[in-house]
Amino acid sequence: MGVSQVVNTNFEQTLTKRRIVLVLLVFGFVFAFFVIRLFSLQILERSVYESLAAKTSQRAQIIPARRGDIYDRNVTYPLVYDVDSFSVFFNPADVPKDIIPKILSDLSYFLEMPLTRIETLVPPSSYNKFQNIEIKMNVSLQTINKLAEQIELFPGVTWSNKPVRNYSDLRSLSHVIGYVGRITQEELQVLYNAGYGFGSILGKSGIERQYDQILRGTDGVIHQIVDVFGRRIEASGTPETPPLLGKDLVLTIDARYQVLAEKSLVGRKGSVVIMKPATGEILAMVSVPYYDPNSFSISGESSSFIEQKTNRDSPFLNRAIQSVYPPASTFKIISAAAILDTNAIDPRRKIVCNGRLRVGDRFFNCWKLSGHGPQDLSDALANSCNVYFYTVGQSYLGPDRIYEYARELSYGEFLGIDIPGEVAGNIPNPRWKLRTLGSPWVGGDTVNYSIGQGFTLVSPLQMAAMMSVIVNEGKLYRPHLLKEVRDPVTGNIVQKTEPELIFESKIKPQVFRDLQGYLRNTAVRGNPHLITTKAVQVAGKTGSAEIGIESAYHNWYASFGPYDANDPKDRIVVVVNVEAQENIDYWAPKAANIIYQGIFANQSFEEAVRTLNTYYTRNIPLGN
Amino acid sequence: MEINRSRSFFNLDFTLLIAVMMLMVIGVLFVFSSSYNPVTNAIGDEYIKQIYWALMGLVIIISIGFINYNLYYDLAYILYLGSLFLLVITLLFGRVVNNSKSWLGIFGLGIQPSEFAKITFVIFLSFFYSSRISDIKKLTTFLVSLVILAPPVFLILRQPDFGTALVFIPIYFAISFVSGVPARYLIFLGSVSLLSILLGVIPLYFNRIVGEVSFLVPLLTDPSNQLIVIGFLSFFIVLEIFGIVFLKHPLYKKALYVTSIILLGFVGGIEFRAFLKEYQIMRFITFLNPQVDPQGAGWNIIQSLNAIGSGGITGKGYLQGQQSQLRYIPMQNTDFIFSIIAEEWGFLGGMLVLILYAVVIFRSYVTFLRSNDLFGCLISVGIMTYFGFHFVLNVGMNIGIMPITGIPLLFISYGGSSILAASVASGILVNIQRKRFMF
Repeated sequence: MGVSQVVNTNFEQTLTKRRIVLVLLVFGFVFAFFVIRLFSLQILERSVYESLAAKTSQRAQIIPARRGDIYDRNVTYPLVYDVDSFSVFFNPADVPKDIIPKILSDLSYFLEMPLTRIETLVPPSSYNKFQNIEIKMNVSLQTINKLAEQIELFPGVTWSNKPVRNYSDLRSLSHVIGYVGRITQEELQVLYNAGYGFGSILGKSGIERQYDQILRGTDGVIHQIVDVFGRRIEASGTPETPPLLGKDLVLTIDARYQVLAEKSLVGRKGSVVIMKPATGEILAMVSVPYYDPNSFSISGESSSFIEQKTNRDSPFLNRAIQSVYPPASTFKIISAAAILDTNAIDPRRKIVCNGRLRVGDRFFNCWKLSGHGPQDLSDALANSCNVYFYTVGQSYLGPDRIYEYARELSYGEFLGIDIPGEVAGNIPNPRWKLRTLGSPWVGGDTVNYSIGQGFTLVSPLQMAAMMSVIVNEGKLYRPHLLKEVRDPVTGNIVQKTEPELIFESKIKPQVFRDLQGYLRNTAVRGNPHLITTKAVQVAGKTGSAEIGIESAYHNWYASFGPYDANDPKDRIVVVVNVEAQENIDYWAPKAANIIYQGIFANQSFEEAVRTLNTYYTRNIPLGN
Repeated sequence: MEINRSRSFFNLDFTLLIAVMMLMVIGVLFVFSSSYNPVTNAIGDEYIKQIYWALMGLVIIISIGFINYNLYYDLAYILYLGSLFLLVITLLFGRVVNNSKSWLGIFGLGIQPSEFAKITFVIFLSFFYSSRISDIKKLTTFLVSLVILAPPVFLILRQPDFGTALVFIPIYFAISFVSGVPARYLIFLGSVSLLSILLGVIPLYFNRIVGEVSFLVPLLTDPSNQLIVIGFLSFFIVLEIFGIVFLKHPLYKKALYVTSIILLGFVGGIEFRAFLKEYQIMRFITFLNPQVDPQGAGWNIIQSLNAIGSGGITGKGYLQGQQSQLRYIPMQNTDFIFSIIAEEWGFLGGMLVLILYAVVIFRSYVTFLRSNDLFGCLISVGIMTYFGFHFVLNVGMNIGIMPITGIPLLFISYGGSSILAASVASGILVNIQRKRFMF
């Protein structure tokens, strides 16, 4: 202790020096460690960080491909095309989270859209997404210019010239063509691997949806070096993938037929299907009421969409393929086919119609309560005599055979038309009733069945298919709307839809030829005489039914023409269905009459109406 | 010793001066680089201010180099209390920059009193130990030294500026250790502090970084568990005191030493979590795995590592650093300036900065060795630690192995206060070396 005491009076030199060496050693170790760390970061792992750095600053920007145009079959009439329009995007991950709400509210003011809408597009959960979210479509160049002047206030905001769909004035095609919209989260989950991304536009219904992959093309990509605020610094050396134009579609629709069909309903609710049996091509498909796809496609606002969606008349419903109705008296064609094919009863044998038929303790009326008197098959079809078909159905055919012949005429199946939403309707039999409703088939069911009432439901398209089977003498080609796919630049056909035989009936061809004759006879002798056109020989059958307990009716006309065509391939099928409330005016055959006149006399609707000049066409208000 | 007066009139430590000047030049170059905008070719005016401050710094180094450091021995109280006064004033009237109230406006100029408080603290602690060197081993000396440490740390934590407050701790330990304070006191204090921080961050570490359930989390955070642990440890302490008093076995003293560290560390951990907000703790530990919050606390580290790693051996070239020029690195002219140097000048540039700092620290050691008295020795140690710790924490944060604390890289980072304070410290070193010839 003695020695250290002495040293302590000054200070403990040795201890201090020992200790500072320790402090120095600590620094020495840390330095050595830093050198090793720098060496490993910058020399050993350099490539890892190089690619990370490149990835951070490189942003892939999508160049949207121009969506293909859609034409009618004559390729003269563009039904849908893209128009230029600016879209404003926001990339949330480009900006610090805490200033995003401010940017969004500024954008709301600038783009004149409600903040709540922007906030639903850019929810807080998306704040980490390196994705351009589309805020608004169809922004004017003026607004874009203003935005560009103050871009420093809007980090993460970009815009692009993004083509927008413009739909032609042929509104009745809205169901066939459909519309496009922004991809939803649910759709993205399903389609993620099919080249769709956050904010993709895709077809939501109709042709736009069915052929989305063909129409959409392939979006291009441009790789850009961007700074932390997402501002473009320079296009990098990475080769950009140019966008591939979407291909053009040519539909089987004939715009002239479509206009005629649309106008022939004169505002009534209902649908028209015009089909070419020889190929399965749909020449016109009308469903009224229809919607206006431009009203929400161009503005990007959904209020109009919701307004139309919630309309009581369901304008979004494609009645031609999505609505089913009892086929009513048109179903007598089925019974007629069964009679002719099986000879269950001699078609010339007369059955007396007293205006009603007693089945068990119930009476079933003919529509003519005074009765038609003695009727053979030809008379019964022409007069649409219920009692004849009641009797034949109950006593000669039975429900199973009616079922069998309904199926042999293609009823009760999906037809696989190339737009989504088709329904299959229902063709019942005793087994079906027992299984579904749990009650046995009774005599009354057969009676109703034989005149197309009760549980029987078909769509207008199915009725057109049924008529096609008759015209083709047993063959049915898949009904379709796509005629060709064309290259958007050269106009060359790259894909063509060939007729696809989907059904062949077991019924003898002669039966169909006879049926055609019966139907021609029905159109000529039918009472009241509605098919007045001289332009073409029409064959067809009417049908009317009351639906449910409401006083709602619907009225059918199933027909084909020309009956006397030199080449059976030239025949077309026209099916009209009209829904009526309160007062039924049997418009379906009248509409068909105008359609046939227009098509075969090569007249416009107005000209056709003037030419026909019958009692019911005189009240149609014509524009000029 | 008093030979060699003729060697030079000024007798300045030119090695130190040159190293400091080179660091300052690098600083100006890279403040320029970070304020240069490659898109618009616009250049911020920060680098001009930085040149002014560097020149002012040189003047200060030379001037203070001629002021006899023994003067500070007499002024120690005034300097220390004066800086505490300024810290109080700052808390009352300071300007809020980057969420902390650390700026004080004087004559239209903003200064950060906390930067200068580090130097007055070095001076006052050195003064304290050298004036009480005969009592250096006494517990009271140790306790008084803690009383000296507490006020500046507390005042700076209140701003709050966690990083700057942190700098005082190693300075305190280094000076105390070298001056001869018994190691057991310092180990006790050091262990309690480390344990407090460790136990303080463990719950968030498991919950947010590791993402696993650990039995430690409820043990540390549940109030009833805390009471049980504290009660348990207190019971042991009572037993150990009983053993010391009645059984007089030396083992009981050692046990008491360890148990007290654990108890105080446990309580310290609870206080640590109570005192700091969760985001502050997260900022502190995110470097362990920056990917848990890549857009938030981890962003700086990820971008900094990308910049440094992609720099390679020779770098991307001056003004060519992609990460920095595209502004991916935040605070790139202050906290993260090292990453720009390492990106644009590569491994060689990073090594240059490392070597220059090694020179500065080694010259501080040389100053210590050549110092004539304990006061000068301790100041040298304090300044060495001040330089060294700033360097270690800042560069360590840039290369992703130290927490983000936001303390500047002295002489290089943009900012007047840090350059001027570092210059004052350098000047003092220069004078201590000069003085050895003037006995």
